[in-house]
Amino acid sequence: MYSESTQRVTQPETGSPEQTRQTVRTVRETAPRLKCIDAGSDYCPCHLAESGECIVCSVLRGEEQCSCDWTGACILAQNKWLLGHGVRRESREARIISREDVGQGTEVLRVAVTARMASQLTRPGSFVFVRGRPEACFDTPLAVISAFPGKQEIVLAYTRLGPKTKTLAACEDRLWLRGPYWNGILGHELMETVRNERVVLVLSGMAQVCGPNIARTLLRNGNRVSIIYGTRGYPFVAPYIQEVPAAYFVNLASQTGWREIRSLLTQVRPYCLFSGGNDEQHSRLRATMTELGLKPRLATSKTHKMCCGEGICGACVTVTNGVQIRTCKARLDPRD
Amino acid sequence: MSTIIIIGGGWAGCAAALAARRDTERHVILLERTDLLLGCGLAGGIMRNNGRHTAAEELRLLGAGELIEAADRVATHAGFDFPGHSHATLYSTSRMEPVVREVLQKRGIDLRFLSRVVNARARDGRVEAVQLADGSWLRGDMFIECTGSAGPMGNCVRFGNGCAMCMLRCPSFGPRVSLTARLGIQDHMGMRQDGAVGSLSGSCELRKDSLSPRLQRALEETGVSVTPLPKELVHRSMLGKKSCRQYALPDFADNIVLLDTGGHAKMMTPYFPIDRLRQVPGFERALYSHGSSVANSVRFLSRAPRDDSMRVRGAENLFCAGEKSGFFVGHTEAMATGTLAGYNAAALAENLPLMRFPTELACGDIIAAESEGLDQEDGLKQRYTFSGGIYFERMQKRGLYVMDTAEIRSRIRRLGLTGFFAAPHADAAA
Repeated sequence: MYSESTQRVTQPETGSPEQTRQTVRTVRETAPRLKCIDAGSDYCPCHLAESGECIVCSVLRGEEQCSCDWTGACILAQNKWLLGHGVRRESREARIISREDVGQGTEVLRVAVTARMASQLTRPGSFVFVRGRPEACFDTPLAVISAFPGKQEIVLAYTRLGPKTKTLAACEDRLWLRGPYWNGILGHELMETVRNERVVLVLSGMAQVCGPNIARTLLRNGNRVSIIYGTRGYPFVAPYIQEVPAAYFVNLASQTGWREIRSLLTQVRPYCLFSGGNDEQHSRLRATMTELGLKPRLATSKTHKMCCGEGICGACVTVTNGVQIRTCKARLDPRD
Repeated sequence: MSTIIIIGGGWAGCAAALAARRDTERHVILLERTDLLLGCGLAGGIMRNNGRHTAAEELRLLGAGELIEAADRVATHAGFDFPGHSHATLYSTSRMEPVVREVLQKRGIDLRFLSRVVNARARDGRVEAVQLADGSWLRGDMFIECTGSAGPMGNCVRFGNGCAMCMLRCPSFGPRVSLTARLGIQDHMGMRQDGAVGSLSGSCELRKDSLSPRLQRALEETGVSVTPLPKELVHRSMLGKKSCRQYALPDFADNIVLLDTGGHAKMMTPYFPIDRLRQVPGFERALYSHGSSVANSVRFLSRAPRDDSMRVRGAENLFCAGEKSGFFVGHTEAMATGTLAGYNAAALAENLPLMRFPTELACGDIIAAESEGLDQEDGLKQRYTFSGGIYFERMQKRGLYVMDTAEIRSRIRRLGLTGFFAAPHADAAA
C-alpha cells in the first residue's frame, strides 16, 4: 500500500527501540487537520479518499477517532452515498476560439468549454490543466484569467518556456483540457470572505492571471479594490478587469517602485492584500504591511510546483513541521 | 479578576456560566459553536418528571434555580403524567432559547456565538488557551468543557444511520471537537444495550399541524397523546438503541407517545419510517419538523474521566459538565453538573476548596452513582437520569425521591447549603 504520508520526515528523537515505539507517534496519528480545496465539491471524495489518504477525514485514513475540522457535508457520508468516489476530472478535447500574442512569448487563449465548466472557474484561484497532445504527461496547469458561462468560454494565458508549453504553441485549434481546479492561490478564506473593506492587489509577471477572478469576487462582496501592476510592459490581464477604476503602474525592480507602493498603501490603508508574483514579492509586501502598522493579512499566488492537481504525484509536496502536505489539495494559509 | 471559559452553550454550559459568574466581576466567556444556546435542549423540553422534580427543587433551594424557573415560565404543560412518568412539565422549545439568552445576558455573561473551539493548549497539566476555528487563541484561567457527546457527522455515519439533520447542525456550524481528546486524555465511549457504540437520541419532532385534529386537540389539552401501534408496526428492538433509558419501556414500543413541546409534537422514539407512521390512525399526513424518519443523532461517544467535583482527570484547571461529564440524560441533569462545574472552576480560580454535592441530595448521588457505575460490568451501557431507569430506582431506594418541597428545604438547611450557589463564595466546601 502507498503510505508515504505515514513516514515521519524528520528524524525521531533517539531512544531505545522500545521507548521509540511508544513515544514517537507517526505523522498519521498527529496529522494536522487540514482543509481541502475539493471538500464538498462534485469531486469529493477523490482518489485520495479511495486510497485511504483523505487529507480531511481521519476515519477514511483508517484512524479510530472521527476528528475532522470540515464544516460541510461529511466526507465519510459522501463516500457512502457516492459508493467510494465523486466525479472524476478527465481531460476533454476543447476548441481554441482565438489566440492573441501579447508579447514576451506570452499568448492569451480563448477556449470553448461547457457553461458548467466555465461557471466553476470563476472562483479565485481557478485553473485548468491543458495539453496540446493526447499523451497525458504533457499536462500543464494554467490559471483561468476569466470565465464566461454565458458565452461558454474561458480565457487562459501561457508563456512559451519548456517542452509542455511548446506543445501548446504547436497545437493548432484543439487542446485537451481537464478541470476545474481552484487551488491556484493561498488564502481563499481571506479573498472569499472579506466584505466591505479596502483591498489592494499587487500583480506582476505571469501571476497577474490570478487578478481578474479575485478582483471580481472582491467587488461582488462590496469591497473597494485598487490594483498595482508591477509588470514590465502592458499588463495583458487589464482588459479583463475593467470594473476596477484605479490602477497604478510601478517598477518592482527598483527602490523607487517600492517607495511608491509604500505611499500607496499608506494612503489606502487596505484591510488586506493579494500578492500575485514571486516569493520575494510576497515577503516584501508582508514586511511593508507590518512596517505600516497594517495587519499582515495577505493572500498570495501559489509558487508551489503544480503537476497533477490530484494529490497523487507528489510534485507539490512540502514539509511543514515534519509533516508532508500535498499543497495542490490542502487549503493553506500563506503564513503556513 | 480571573477569566473562566466555558466551551459549549447547551444547558450544562449555561448553568456553568451562571454558577461561575454569580454576582462577581469575574469574566465568564461562553463559547458556542452555533448561533443558538441550548444545544440538544432545543429539541427537548421534558422537566420535573419523576425524580427530576426533586432535583429541580434541590437546585432551586441551593440557589441555582434560575434556569429551572426560566423553564417553568415557558411551560406549555405542567404536572401531567405520561406512560411511566408522573408530574412532568414541558417547556416550549419555541420560546425557551431567547429566555435563557436573556437570563445570561442580564447576568453579564460574555456570550460568543459562532465560536467553535477546535483545539486546546496545555503546559504542565494546565490548560492555557483554546483555539477557535478562525485560528485565534483565547487564554483563560479556568476551562469548562460542555461540548456534549455527539458528532462530528462521521460518528453518526459510522454508529448510526447517517446524518439526521438534528438540532446540532454540524454541516452548517462545523463539527464538535472533544477538547479532552485534543489534550490526549482518553474519553470513554458509551455502548448501546445491543452492544453497538453510542446511542441514539430517544425522540424526534413531528409538525403538530400535520397530525389529525383529534391528536392536536389531545396534545393542546393534556400535553400528551398515546396511540396504540398496530401489531405489525411494533419494533421492540428500537428500545435498545435509545439513550434515554427512562423511555425505553414497553409502553413506548407498543404505542406512539407524543408530547406537546409548543411548536412541535415530540415523538418518543428515535425515528420512525414515515410510510409506516402514516399507517397509524391520526398520523396519515404526518411530517417531521426537523430531523428525519430514518435516523437520529448518535450520542455518548466521549465521556471525560473526572472526579466528583467535575474536574477532569489529567488537567488541573479543566472541568466538565453535561453529557461530556458522564452518561447523564436530560436537561435537569445537565444543569446540576453544570452548576457544580461552574462553581468549582470559580472556586479553584480563587484558591478556595472545591465542593461536591453531598450524596444526601439527589444531585450529589447521581454523580456518585455514575462514577461508580463506570467500572462495573456493562457500565458503558448504563445511562443516568433522575427520571427513570436504574438511577431513579436507586433514588427511590435511598429515599431521595421527595415530592414535598418543605422536606427538601429542611434537608438542604440541615446540610447548611441553603442558597449556597447564590451567595458570595463561602468557605464551605461540602
